[in-house]
Amino acid sequence: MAKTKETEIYYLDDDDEIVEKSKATKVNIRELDGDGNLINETFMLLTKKG
Amino acid sequence: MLSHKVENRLAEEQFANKYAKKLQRTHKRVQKEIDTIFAKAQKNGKWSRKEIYKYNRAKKLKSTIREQLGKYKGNFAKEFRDDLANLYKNETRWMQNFLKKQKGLGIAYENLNTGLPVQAVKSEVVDNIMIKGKTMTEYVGKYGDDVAFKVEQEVMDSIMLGEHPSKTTARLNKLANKMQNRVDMTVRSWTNAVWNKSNLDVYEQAHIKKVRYLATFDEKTCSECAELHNNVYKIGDEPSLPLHPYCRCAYAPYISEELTPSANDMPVERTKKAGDKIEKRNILGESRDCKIRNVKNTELIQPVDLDYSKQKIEFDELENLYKEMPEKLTENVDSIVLFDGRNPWDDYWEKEYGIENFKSFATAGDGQISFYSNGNITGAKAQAHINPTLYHEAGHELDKALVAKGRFSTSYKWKKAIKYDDIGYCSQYSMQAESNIEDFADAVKFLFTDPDKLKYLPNRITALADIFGREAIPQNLRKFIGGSVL
Repeated sequence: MAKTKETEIYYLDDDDEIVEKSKATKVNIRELDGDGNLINETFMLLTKKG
Repeated sequence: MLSHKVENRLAEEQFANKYAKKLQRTHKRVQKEIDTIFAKAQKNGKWSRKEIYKYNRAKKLKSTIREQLGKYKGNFAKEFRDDLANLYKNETRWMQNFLKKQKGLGIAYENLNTGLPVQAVKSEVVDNIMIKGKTMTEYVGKYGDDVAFKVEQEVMDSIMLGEHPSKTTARLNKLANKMQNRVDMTVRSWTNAVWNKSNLDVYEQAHIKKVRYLATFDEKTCSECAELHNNVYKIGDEPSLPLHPYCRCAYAPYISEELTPSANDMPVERTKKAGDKIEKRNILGESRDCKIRNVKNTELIQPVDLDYSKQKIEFDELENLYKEMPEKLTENVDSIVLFDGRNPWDDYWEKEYGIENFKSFATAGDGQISFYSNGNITGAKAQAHINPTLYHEAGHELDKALVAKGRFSTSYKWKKAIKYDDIGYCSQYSMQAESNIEDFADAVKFLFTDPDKLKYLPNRITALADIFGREAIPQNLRKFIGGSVL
């Protein structure tokens, strides 16, 4: 994490289509270094509310 | 039991083909009748409205179409009823024999020798099974009438527009394709219903009180079925199968809580395997004894006292999946760890992106893939996401290892493959990230988990064939090797 200079977040649905945050069932976070190289990826599964 | 289910799937395929062929023959007969009438009712090679109404030709054509499709409908319902009855009998006998071999489970073995649980199979089983409120005969009857009406309508529209007969044929072919899909769906749905009804009847005959819901896991599994996987129901309270068209779910007998795993996704086998090492490792800041299994030069790690209610991924399942991955992909992954705690960075992400209760499922980087506490989701959901995660992340590690410096995905070769495939990135994720790196990892993931997603990407298939070998490319995609330019 120390090397991380930038993070990007992507919201996806069950078909791996990019969707808006409220409709997402998955989240991918990319951590990049100063040169834009990927150094870590975090994957989260969202559970339905209610 | 699993191999029997696979055999059932093959039998289902044969049934679907049999009725699809019958439909094709009917389609040909209808086409022939149309050609005969056309010869008499044409002008300058096109339908003539004037000629079609002479000598009751239009009326005759309509009644011929109805007659042909009526015959198909009648034969279909009759023959399929017989087939389903035979299917019920065969499946019942198979299940009785299977249960008889399972000794010491306290089931009523003596009842399994008394013959079929239901004697009048056609009238009491096949005729009574309902899907979405309709019996098979009602469904086929209604669908047959709808189809006859649509065929008649398409043909008459074509005639009224004075179309060339090739257009009439095209209209009929389009309709025939839709009918084919419907026949396929009907056959598979009722076959599934009869198998499951047979299984339930035998379980009741053997005095088994409960069933376990079994979904089939692959890229086609729907979330509804995945959620129900492994649930246990009292017989009579189980969800009616098929749950939806093309549903492949089944019921397995649930004998007793002592003899079968509980319903809440607990792993079946948690013992230490010969060859596992036990070593202290740092687990989220705490030194714990860990079970370490070396699989293809990768360490699979989990704490010995792992809390299974928080980590639903099974160690053995992980090992099996990992063993199936090609050497090329696994050789660059150092370790895979199963944690029963949260990713320490979850709180940070929660604040950073405003996602309440952020819980990482997995992280990957620097040769390590980590799976965190996932007690908030079902075991089935966790299992379903292991494979895509492993292939994608191992793809990243391979990407770095393929070239001495940098990444293969940013090399001229992959860039050129993306350029000449000419439809942009291979997934929405890589497209949104505008990233060759994600494009490569997703292409690797697709190759091994959902290869059809690569079918319009001949240059990427070629590059992947260079990396993994031609034999790693599924048969239907091999024709693309060679790409358009690479």
